[in-house]
Amino acid sequence: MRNVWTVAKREFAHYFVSPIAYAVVLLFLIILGLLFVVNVYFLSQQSGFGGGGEPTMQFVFGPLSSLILFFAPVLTMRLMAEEQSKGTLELLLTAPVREWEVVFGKWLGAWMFGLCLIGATAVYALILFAYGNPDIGPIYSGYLGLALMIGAILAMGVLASSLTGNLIVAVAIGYAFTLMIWIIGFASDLIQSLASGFGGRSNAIVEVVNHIDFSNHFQSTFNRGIIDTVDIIYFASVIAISLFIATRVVEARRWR
Amino acid sequence: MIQVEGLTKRYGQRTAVDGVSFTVERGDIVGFLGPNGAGKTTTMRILTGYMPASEGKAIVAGYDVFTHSLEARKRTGYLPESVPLYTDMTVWQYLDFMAELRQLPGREDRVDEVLESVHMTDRADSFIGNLSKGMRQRIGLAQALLHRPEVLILDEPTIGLDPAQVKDVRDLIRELGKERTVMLSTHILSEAQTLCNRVLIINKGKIVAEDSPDRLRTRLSGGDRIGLKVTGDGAGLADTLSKVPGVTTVRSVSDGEFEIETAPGGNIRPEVAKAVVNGNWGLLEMKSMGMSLEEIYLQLVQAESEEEEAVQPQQEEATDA
Ligand SMILES: Nc1ncnc2c1ncn2[C@@H]1O[C@H](COP(=O)(O)OP(=O)(O)OP(=O)(O)O)[C@@H](O)[C@H]1O
Ligand SMILES: [Mg+2]
Repeated sequence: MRNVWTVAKREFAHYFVSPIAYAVVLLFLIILGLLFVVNVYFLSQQSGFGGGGEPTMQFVFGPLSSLILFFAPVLTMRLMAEEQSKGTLELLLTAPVREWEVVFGKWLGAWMFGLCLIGATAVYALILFAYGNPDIGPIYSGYLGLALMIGAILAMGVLASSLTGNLIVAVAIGYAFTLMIWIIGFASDLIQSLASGFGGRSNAIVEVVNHIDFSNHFQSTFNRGIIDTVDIIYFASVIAISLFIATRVVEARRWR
Repeated sequence: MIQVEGLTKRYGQRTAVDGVSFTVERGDIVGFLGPNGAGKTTTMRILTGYMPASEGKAIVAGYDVFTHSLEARKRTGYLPESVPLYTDMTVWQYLDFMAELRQLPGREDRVDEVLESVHMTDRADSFIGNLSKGMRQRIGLAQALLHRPEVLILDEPTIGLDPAQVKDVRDLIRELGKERTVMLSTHILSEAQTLCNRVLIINKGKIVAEDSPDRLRTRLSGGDRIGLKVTGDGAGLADTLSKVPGVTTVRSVSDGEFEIETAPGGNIRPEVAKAVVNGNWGLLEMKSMGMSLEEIYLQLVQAESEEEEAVQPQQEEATDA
């Protein structure tokens, strides 16, 4: 376990020396800031502040949960791929460190950075508290959900990165994973509309597909102030399965 | 310290290491020689636990590298051939990170110590990416020494170093070799000759010779080689010399200079000297030349290749295709 922390610390610190990470954070906050301002502005136009609808953190969490999908693969692309292309994996794997400690440590470092990224959006929450009286419950649950969700996407990114020695390929595989999760939501909508046309016989399939879809475990629960253990288990299993496979991939690399 | 038995490694169709067996005792400095692609790096990677063998067994510092890999790795220091380093870290950060991975107590002092031993203290805060090749090599070596390993495995440790550093690193290795076990690969035969007390020559994945550099010389060439210098042009001396029992060939190098090869067993230098003096030639110089490690190496490696080519030329082509 100590080795996990050693690896995680190094990766976490690395984000602060790499220009890419700064660019990502900046872009991230600019996009969210714009969306926040626009949303708040339209709301105040419609009903006046404190009138019909009060601005909430859902303005931030909604787009944030989609943005994460785009940013996460960039944050994880180099984690394992660079070790391979630069040959430094030979250093790590001939030190008394287990493969899972390397993989888990890499993910943990990335996740800590992801949490900082999400944490930075607390600025908007402070603004809301300064000018209004938002409900605190959904803010807590929203942050919990986002933390789990980014952890899951980063774990898939680590897996993608372990499959190749090429950063571009790593990021492409990472996007393929997130795209899959994105598309599967549409697929379930499609199945549902088809099913209703044919008498609603495919509920089971819809349920399974819905269950795999990321946003269903966030938008309808965490983002509305509901903390459901099913969702927590879901994200935790995505993390566990991705890291498990990534560990196996690194182990298998030795046998080549 | 290192025991290897029937070690074999196949990459797909190609056999890189083919049933290699050897042992290395504590306090040995073993030189691992062989042409490019002979399987040196592959063997070392197996010994350091980076990759498993296809067949065979290897015990390093008392632990099987396959079944007790972690224990073996704890006791092994390794300098990989390509000297991979985290170029985005400073020298100090990097060594501190490796020391932390090895869970060393008193990390910071130890990092300072190894930096001192490779003369890199003044570059502790430089980014590794900005160092010269030889400096990186030294950092790689420092990393291998961090945890005072019982076994050091160094893949071409002096390549890319300046002459002063080569000397320093050799002295360092010699010093380490007093209590530890060192295995190093090199293409510099004189390095193996002066630094190592044992030499392993590997060719096409097979060990073709294993001995101390000195004994390897006599064992292989069998006899001795003697250089002679006499006054005058030495006319007729060749005839006289070839009559001395034990002399196999006499070659005149230039006026008054001769080279004699002798049959194995027995030192016939006194007889040679007597023959020269009795024949009234003035003996200016007489030296045992032996065969250099380089000659032995070439002889072994080439003999091996010629044999193979003669036996199975088609098969060679087939594997290359
Ligand atoms: N990862 C790999 N995949 C496939 N073949 C490999 C791999 N690594 C080495 N080989 C092959 O194994 C054989 C031995 O290679 P190795 O690197 O052990 O040689 P070496 O003795 O270290 O040579 P050099 O003196 O050039 O360093 C070569 O034929 C090489 O092509
Ligand atoms: Mg090599």
